[in-house]
Amino acid sequence: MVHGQDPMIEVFIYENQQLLEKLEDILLQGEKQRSLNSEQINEVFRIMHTIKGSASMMSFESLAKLSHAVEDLFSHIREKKVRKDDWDDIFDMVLNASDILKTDIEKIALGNSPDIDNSELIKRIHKYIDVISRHTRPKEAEKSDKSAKAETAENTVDHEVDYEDFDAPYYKIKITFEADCKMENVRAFGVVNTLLPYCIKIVYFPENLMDESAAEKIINDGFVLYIKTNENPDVIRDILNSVMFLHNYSIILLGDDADELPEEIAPRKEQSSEKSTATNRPTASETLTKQNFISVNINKLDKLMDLVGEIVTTESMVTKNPEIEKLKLESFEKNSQQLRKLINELQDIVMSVRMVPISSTFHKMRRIIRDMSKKVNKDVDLVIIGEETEIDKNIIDSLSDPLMHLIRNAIDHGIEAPEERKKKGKSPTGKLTLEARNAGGDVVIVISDDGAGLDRKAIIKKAIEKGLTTKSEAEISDKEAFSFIFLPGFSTNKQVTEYSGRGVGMDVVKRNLDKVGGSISVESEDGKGTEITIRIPLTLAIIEGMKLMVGDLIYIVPTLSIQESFKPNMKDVFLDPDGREMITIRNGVYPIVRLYEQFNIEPKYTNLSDGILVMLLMEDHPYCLFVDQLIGEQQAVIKPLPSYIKRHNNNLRGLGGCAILGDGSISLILDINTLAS
Amino acid sequence: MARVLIVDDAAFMRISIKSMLTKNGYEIVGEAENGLVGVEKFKELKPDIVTMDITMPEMNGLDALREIMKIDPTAKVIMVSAMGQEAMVRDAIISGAKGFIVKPFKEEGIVSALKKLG
Repeated sequence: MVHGQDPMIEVFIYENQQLLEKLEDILLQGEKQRSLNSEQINEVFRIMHTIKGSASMMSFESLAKLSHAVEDLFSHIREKKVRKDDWDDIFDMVLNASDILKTDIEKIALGNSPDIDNSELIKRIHKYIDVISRHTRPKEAEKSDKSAKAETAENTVDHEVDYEDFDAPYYKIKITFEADCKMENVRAFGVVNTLLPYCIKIVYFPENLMDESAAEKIINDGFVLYIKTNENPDVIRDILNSVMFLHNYSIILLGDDADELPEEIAPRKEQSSEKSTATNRPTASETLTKQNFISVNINKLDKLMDLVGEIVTTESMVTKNPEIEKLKLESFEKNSQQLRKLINELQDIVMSVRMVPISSTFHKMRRIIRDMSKKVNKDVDLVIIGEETEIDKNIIDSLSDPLMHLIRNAIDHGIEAPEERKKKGKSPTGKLTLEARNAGGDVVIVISDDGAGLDRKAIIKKAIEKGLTTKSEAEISDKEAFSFIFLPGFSTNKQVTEYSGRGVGMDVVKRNLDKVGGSISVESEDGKGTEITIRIPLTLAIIEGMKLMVGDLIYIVPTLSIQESFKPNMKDVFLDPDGREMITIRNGVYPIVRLYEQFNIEPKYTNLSDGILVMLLMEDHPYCLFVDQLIGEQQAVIKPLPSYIKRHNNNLRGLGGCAILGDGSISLILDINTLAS
Repeated sequence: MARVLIVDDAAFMRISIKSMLTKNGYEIVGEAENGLVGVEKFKELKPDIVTMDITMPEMNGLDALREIMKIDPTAKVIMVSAMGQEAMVRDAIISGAKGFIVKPFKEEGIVSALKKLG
């Protein structure tokens, strides 16, 4: 989004992008069942209605026309029953429409005018509305012939709610309980539970009945329900009369115009009776939280983050000022501690504001999988785990492309065609799993498939051909072999398809992840599948660091990656056959990396027993870093190394950035992943 | 008048409920000191109404309620609960309890509640 645009346009773009994402989600969910239930049909209708409204307000005629056409289509669908065969075309058309709308909105976001010719699609939709009207039976005929309905029921099993129900009236019910009957909230829950089977929809206030304050609210204001039902009000009265400790109630019939419903009952808040009572409450509370959200321009958050970073640095410059440190100032100490505490809190909040769940990124993948598996004629089921995992907004944005590429690869090369899978004794439908989880200061994302796995031999052969390795096949470990695929220009697939196989993939994926401080690794078993693990930091900007001193230089490593630090016992140190220094600690053997050797500096100590070893926690190859001494912890705002340094020194291996210390000096932040390799 | 089975592990509660109900014309056909016995007695006595305590040894009131509903889906079970058991009462309602009273309760309270059961 371009900063400083007309705020109206920003809202227009933001809201409609959200709506389209939601639309896509609904459609893809429905496509699996090859139909939509009434709730989903209503939702699509409402989304299109909203887009049409705002598009015409902003005079984007083409958008308004297209969304109008889809809205029309769905208003037909919700009035008439649709044959199962029709759904395939409907999904196709609407996804198509959604793509056009999305692209147009992107164009608007870039300041261009939407110009996609959608007249063909609109014509197709209109034609379809005619077709549907002819296929389907009008509502009236059905009402007069209930027995025929049973016969046609087979065609329409997926419609959970009878379309007559759209006309059912709304009632407003207000209940008071007897004084001192206790647990009014649970009593109210009982009422809802009893009425549920008789209603198409129930909405009630207070919303969250199991909340402690609900009983209090009911005592003071009574319990209010809005129900949509075809039942005779007398039936409802009978039910209410049998409720224990019920003091009084009123039932009012509302007109069929939904305007009489209070505004809080936005259509989405309605709970349909087909949902179980257990799932009722979350829906209500979810809408409650939604209303508490505002959207904020990401640029403002970036600015805020930068500012907090500056404050953290300035704070340590002030409180750790060398001139002040010499003085003993009790109240200054106390106040600066308080300041630090507040800044920490501020920082936590700013960080948490920037965290967004990965779910929308994962759901985007659903669409890609759908389109692709259709094109290459493979059946693929997507399993999503841990979509609530949160990551910094900026990092999430740079995740989309790598994920997309990996998924395309998995479907194109990994998962086999259905016939081949059957031959191998696998289920014809392939399984692709996307999983996200927190691990320390990192988020781990795993993309796994149950396809053919990587072809170790072919990879090694290719690597040798291309001169990427001088080892022979037997010398190469699986891990090493699979890591070749991340090298530039590597592709074992001879056939280039539309989606992948141009050999510019995996290295780009790796480079994109490197940019945000992430890493990638592959595991694969022949015939069983491939598992790709991505590790990325939770957030980019500020780390808790440990200051290490070598010679006169101070380096910082993330505190989270330090396992322990200790003075080595020289009898545990030995040389391995390659002449590398190793140390034995509690049955484990770890290589020793002398930091001064890496950066070619003059240390205070070269004798291991004089300095200190810091064991760094790495998943597959932990190692010990030898430094002169530890200085202490420091919050470090990571700044990228200036580009002129990168230009003059290609070998920046082991460095992740730099940070300004309290006394104004600059310290280098170590990248422990590349340091040892 | 309706026949009632009282399930409660506290003898005091059984006596209180019994005296309140008999005074109002209900017939107490049986008493049980835990859920397990309660379910057995329900099978044996086929009472019209069951008052069911929630916290009991052997088998709690919630499980006993579920067993009884399995035996007779039209059974009229009313839970005898205490403040703080909101979540369990809610589960009882979902499992088919016809209502609940909250300890401490008065005679009018329990009687008016049972009357609603018809």
